[in-house]
Amino acid sequence: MYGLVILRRAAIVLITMLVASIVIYGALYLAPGGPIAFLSSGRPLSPSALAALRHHYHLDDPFLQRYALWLWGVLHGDLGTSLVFRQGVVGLLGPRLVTTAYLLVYSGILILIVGNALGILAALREGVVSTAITTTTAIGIAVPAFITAVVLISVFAVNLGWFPVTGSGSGFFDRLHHLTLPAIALALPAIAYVARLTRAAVAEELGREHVQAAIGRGIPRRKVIYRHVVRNAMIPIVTVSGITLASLVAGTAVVETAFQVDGLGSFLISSVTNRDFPVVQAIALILVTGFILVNVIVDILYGVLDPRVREAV
Amino acid sequence: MSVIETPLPPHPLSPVIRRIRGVDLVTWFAVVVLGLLALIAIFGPMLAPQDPNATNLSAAFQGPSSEHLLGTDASGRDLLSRLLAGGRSALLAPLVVALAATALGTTVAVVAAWFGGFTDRALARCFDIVFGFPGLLLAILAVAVFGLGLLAPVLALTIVYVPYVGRIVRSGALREVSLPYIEAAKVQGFSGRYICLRHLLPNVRKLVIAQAVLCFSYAVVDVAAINFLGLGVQPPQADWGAMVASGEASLIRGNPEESLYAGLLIVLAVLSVSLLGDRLLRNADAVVL
Amino acid sequence: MSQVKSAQGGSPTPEAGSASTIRRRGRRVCLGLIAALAAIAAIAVASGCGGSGGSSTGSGGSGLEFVATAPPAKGDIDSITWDLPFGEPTSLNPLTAYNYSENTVLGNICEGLLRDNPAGEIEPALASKVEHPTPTTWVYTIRQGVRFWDGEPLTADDVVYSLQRQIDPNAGSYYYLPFGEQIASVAKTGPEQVTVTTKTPNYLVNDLMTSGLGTIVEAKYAEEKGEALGTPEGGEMCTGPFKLAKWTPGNSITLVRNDQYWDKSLRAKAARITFEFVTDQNALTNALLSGEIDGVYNAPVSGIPQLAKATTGRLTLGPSTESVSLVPTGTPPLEDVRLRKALSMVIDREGISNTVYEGAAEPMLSNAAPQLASYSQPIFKAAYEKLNNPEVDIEGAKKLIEEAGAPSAPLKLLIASGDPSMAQIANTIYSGGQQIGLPIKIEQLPPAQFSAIYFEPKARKKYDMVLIPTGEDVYDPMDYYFLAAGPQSVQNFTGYDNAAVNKELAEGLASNDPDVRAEAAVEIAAHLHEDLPSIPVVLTPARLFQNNRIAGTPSRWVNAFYPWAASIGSSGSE
Repeated sequence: MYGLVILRRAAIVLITMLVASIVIYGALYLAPGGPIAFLSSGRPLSPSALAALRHHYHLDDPFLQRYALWLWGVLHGDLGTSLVFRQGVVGLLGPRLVTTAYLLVYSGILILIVGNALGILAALREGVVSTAITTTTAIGIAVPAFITAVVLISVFAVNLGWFPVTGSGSGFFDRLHHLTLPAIALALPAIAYVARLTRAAVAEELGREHVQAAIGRGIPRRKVIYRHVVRNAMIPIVTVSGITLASLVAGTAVVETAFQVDGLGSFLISSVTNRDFPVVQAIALILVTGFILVNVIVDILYGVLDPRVREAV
Repeated sequence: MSVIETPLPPHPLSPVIRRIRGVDLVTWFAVVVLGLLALIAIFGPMLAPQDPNATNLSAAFQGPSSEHLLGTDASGRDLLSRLLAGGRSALLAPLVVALAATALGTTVAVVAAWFGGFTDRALARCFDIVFGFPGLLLAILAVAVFGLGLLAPVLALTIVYVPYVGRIVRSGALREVSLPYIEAAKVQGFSGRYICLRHLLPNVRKLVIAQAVLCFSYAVVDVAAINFLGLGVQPPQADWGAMVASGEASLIRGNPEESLYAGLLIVLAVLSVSLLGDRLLRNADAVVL
Repeated sequence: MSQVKSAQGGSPTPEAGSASTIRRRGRRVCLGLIAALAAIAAIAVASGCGGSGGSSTGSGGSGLEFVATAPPAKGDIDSITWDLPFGEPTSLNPLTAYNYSENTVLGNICEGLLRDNPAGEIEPALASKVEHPTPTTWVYTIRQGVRFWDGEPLTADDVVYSLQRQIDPNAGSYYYLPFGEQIASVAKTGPEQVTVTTKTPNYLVNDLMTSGLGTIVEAKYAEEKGEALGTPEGGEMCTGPFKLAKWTPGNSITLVRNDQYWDKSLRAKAARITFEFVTDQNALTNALLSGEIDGVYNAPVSGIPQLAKATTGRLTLGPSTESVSLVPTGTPPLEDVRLRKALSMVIDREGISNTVYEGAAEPMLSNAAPQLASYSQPIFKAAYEKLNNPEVDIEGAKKLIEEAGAPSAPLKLLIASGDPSMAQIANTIYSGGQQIGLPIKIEQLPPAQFSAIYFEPKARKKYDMVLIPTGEDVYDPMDYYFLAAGPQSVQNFTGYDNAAVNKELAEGLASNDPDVRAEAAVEIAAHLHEDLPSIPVVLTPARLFQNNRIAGTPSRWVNAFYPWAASIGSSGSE
């Protein structure tokens, strides 16, 4: 039965991806002035150069044929050629993809560890600690990443000089050093969100009869909390954390721009301003795919973790 | 943030404060701040003591004075005036997004719930597909296609937010449709449109309003991000998101005021709106599926 | 004939941010006064800077040192890191390497037939000799003993191949439209000889053999790589003192010393130079302060206060031909000279110099400023001092607008996006326009498209005026006037055609006497000061920041046409 759910889910994902790719590809044709306006970057072109351009991009073929050709290329790892850099988009994206992956994984780890730790702490320690955490997270959730970025730069880079603000570094530890502030800025709203939900989930488990009964029976509190509370609370926590991770994908554009980290996100923005459409298409496709895939994995994981969901279906 | 399919916890601030004062200060805070921000958005440009775009290069980076209550920016423009003038794009553009997305989302949701069956399934799938797009990304793509400015991102965000409203309103509407009073109305011979408008819609209104408010808070963040990235409003127009970005250059000189003031206003707006939205959603007894 | 020597220098560079540069290519030539030129120009700029500093207000008065000639390096150095503040090069193929970042790198790895040097001279490079037997022919003798990095010798065939590509209309050369088109033929006329024939007599073509137009790549390698030449995948094969070792897209470009380099006097002192692509002003300032990046020519404007106080390195100003002008595009509203005058009157040049540029700029009255010329200083100075300083005069400007009548629609002012200084200047023009009843709308274009504005009249007619950061190739106002005020030039935006100016142009360009040229230039300047086909804003000297551990960086900005990084070495402080 559960297999069927996954199958249906996969179908939706495929359709979403297909729609996404049509939107991303077709967008070029919606632009005022049409694709030529993009492809020529507004430069004067001789009629022969124009004809060569039309031929190279198959502009005289029907739309669906062109789309199919493009999709075929994408599926074979050909994302086209950058109009500004005049080189393969794949080659341009490679190193930037690594940087962005570092940033995402770093933020993801921060969210899972710090978010969950704060949430559990807030649920278990009533009083000042709990209030402090809940208040901070309530505000933290409302602070957009680029504002966090500005504050972090001002305090830790300009005034204290603890972290570099530039670039993405090379080598593992250098990268971590460079990406610490960006990762924090990216992760902060999500940390706050995960902390809130973790707190709620743990508090709910704590209040359950069997937990109270266990404590009443004199089983050590620590043991009860670990065995019954945290374990059961993990199910919603993992789900929420996963979905939150997916939402980071789009956030990289803002954070990388704020910190001048040369990753996919900041490259997307500079390509938008430079109107380098093949690059925009490629990055949009990658980011949307990443977003959708993480969502799906979380969905499936949710089912695996929680037998109730499986039985319900 | 996206809508997450988990019950929202009670607001963390409220129990504490309630215990102390016996009043729900959080809601009051949200309402008062929102009211003030609304005043800025509507009357801000008129309240501005000076022309927000008037430069005076010999008065750059001045501290607070009687002439410039909050000081000046890198071009010697009055920060207070720019903050007052910058609320329009920062708040009204998201408002348009929220209203349009709510109207569209509610309509689609009610239609889906009313007709049920294939229509419902098809529309629900459409929601799923659109939901698969990160909002900010589509807004950026829209700018890539249509050029710099707020119009394209506002349209893109509207489309992306439709399922945010649609999904939840649909579940509320489905529950209503299954209730006996709707059947009774049908038997009495009222038209579908009449029942939807007079019975169904009023009964899911709390849900609709709560979702609209939450949508507004997401839109404030996304629109600010678009302006921060320089893809939305263009100079010299004042805007909070754009001011955070332009202030970044002054920050390193030790003049963080422009970024920080503008950032603070954005945070206040998001905070108050999302607090209000959470509250309304709980009030609406939402069973979020 | 034989060797060509001339007053040279300059560069195409804009200011700050990632804006694109508009390059004016032009002719120079000024035989005979080579030795003193750099010094004179330097003194001129220095005195200009100091002289106008008296009225500095706001955050200006940076008190930065002006350096005419850099002290040499003490010795070799392992590795240096340099920044390209205009971002990653789009190409290192001489055909399409046109802008600041591209040239800054390319000048160190590939060479032209000729080159500019930091003393302001054009000197032979891959051509050992240049002859000019008829007004339209240039005969280049190819230097013997030069080898490409792969060990293959440089031949006349490589030269013919490289030049042919530039004049092929379908090859997509960025030099084609203004210059490649001028060349009628390129032919091998001897085993070591290549003859270039121009359609009409044109000194520019020879001068441009210093630039990408005359840059020689290995024919065999270029053929093999095709479109990929000059990309991270295809690499490059040239003769310069540095070899392209590694290009990691989005991250850095690394050059290593070419031990086989033919010119021993320019053997690279650094074993390795890494170019980074930090465009953000804050990030760049921090990287320079921390020593993460050793140097940059266009130091970030917003970071000037910190960089001037830095203990890790030093910020100095140097000779440069860079300036910023507000140029009408020739649309009907600004055809009325009264509107142009009014615009000029609201521009706060002192404020822009002191506040936007933190004191590292000065008001500009005309393109015949002594700082922009490397010869006949007394003539340029005397004439420049006579020009009336356009003070900010809101009331006067308002009156002019009332007289002329404000245009029905706001004037569209175009700037390149991503450049905070340009945006700031545009904001002040907008604000000034508001005060005098001349509504203005600021529009932005990405650098790539902004460059097209320069060559494509149709594209620029969408706007009423453009704020252009310019760097002339040469320290010669005649170069600018030939391109910007000559009625036949595509770069004459407004179609300015003044018989008196044309006569001066023809006379000046025909003469080999620098004083005659200078007289012509100042005459033209006086006409343009009244007619305002272009509104000068500020002069912006080169802002060189270098870490204390390095020395020998040419202080005069010589950009693309010279292997400037070869002389950078250890300062001896390490």
